[in-house]
Amino acid sequence: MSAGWRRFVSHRLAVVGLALIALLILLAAFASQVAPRDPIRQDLPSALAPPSREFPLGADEFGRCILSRILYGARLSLVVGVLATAVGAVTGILLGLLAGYFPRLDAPVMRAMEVLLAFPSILLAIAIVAALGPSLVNVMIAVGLRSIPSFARLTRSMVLSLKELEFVQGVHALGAGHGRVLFRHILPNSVSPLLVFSSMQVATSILLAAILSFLGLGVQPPTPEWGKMVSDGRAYLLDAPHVSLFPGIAIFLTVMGFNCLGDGLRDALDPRMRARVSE
Amino acid sequence: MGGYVLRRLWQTIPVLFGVSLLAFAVMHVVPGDPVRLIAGPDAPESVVERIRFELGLDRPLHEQYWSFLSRALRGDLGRSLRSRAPVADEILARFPATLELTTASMVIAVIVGVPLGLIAAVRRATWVDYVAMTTSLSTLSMPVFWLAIVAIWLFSLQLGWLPVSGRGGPLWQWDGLRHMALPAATLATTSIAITSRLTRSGMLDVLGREYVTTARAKGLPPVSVVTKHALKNALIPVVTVVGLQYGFLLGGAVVTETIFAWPGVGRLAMSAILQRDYPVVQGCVLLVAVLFVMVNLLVDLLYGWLDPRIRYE
Repeated sequence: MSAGWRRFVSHRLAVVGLALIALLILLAAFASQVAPRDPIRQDLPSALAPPSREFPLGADEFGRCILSRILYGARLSLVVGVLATAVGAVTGILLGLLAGYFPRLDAPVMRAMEVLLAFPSILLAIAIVAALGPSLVNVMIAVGLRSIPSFARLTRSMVLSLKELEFVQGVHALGAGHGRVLFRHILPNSVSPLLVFSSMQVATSILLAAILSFLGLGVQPPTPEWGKMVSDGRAYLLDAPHVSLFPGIAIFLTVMGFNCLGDGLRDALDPRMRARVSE
Repeated sequence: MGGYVLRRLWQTIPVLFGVSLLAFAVMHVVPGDPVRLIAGPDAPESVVERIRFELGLDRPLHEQYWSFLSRALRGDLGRSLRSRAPVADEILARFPATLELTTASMVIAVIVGVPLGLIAAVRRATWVDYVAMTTSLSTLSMPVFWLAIVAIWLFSLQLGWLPVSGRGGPLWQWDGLRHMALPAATLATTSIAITSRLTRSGMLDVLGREYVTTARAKGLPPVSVVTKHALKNALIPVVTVVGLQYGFLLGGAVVTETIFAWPGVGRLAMSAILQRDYPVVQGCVLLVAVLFVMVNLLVDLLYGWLDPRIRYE
């Protein structure tokens, strides 16, 4: 067993996080087998029914089973969280590599990143989705765009320190091209911090996507989406608080899972952080 | 230090220029016609074209941007497409509400978060530490909109202690405080979590330093060692993050303001985006960017007070 894995499994919260995410992925993958009912089928006589054997987490205003909608909604939240982070990661890492490696590109790329950072992220996401129209793809673009500057800055800072190291200079001396140095030598040595940052970004992306749906700018009804479910339940807070309560708990547990995983990965993969944080 | 401030201000010009260009581009290049929204779906084409001409939206994009930029530099942010009121007036009318909410939430975050992180660090690896840090990680993972709804359900609908939404009178009146309590506390939760985690990790770093050991060896009371010698040096990352958060939130806490019907800049920006009220969106975004840059600069200057070894060159 490697030292990194041992450090990871000794971090209790990290193991909890990994277990939560694994469970969520399983439930999302087998939602059609696990869900007690069709998540879209309306059953108006059961509208706002409290939790019972028939509806384990109650029913919403259209009599739809909240548990089933949460299980199907998990697919959407995971897909949005992971793909939006991937959009931000691929673009940001590429820009960071270029800015850190080629001094001429540094200033223009990083100034552009500063502009994106100074732009209020929620307003930018709302503006993009409001402009392009509410859809799953547009939410992913809006959420992914927000994380580009952070990935670019992190990658650039690592490239700046790595490119001065002897092994990189050596590869250069042996005649390797810029592409080979960047993608075969510098990038693989930057994977650990990027992996840690990505897992935390998935959590942030899921939260931001839920905010957009809550504001009515995400996936449109009747597709089950956690943020929208919380929003729809607001009108029935007095009589049926469970309509908002349970989807919110689902978002919380998912985000918590990725945050714990990120904390654990950081402690396991980054010895400097470990020394400081886990004391 | 004056030279440093001037240089920093000079460096912000391209960033602010970029932000204004991005705000302009996002709202203009994409599909959707604000004139149709104003005129209504059944308005005849002649009326639509007349409104477009009056608003200057028939001119080429670069002319519209130049006109916006040159007026903005003179403090004129144009007029709202919907209300026809000056954008600067609309923003200024709502800014006090946002300032009040953001300041209250940041005060709560510092008052709760710093002691929480400090206690967690001093009581490292005890149940106090575990509870404090698990609570802060949980709070970080909670969607603010959901927390707001749960708070409304509990404190307003069930217990009836606090109003559901809106802004009351001034803060020094009981009614103003009651209206402020829920939105400010909700908005503060994320900042409390971040502040306590940073304070803890900063304190752990500082508590192991030699000068702290020396202070202890001299027989100083433990409280004095922690608060006078350690805390001040552990606060730099906390000041940075609190400052940045304050800067961002001053531009409007969109979600909190929307849920609690708080009449601030965030709600104004949100409705302006949905109504494609270009001048208001651009005005709000510029305000946020300027505040963000200014707070960043203030945070940098605070470093010198916290750590006199830091010099501005």
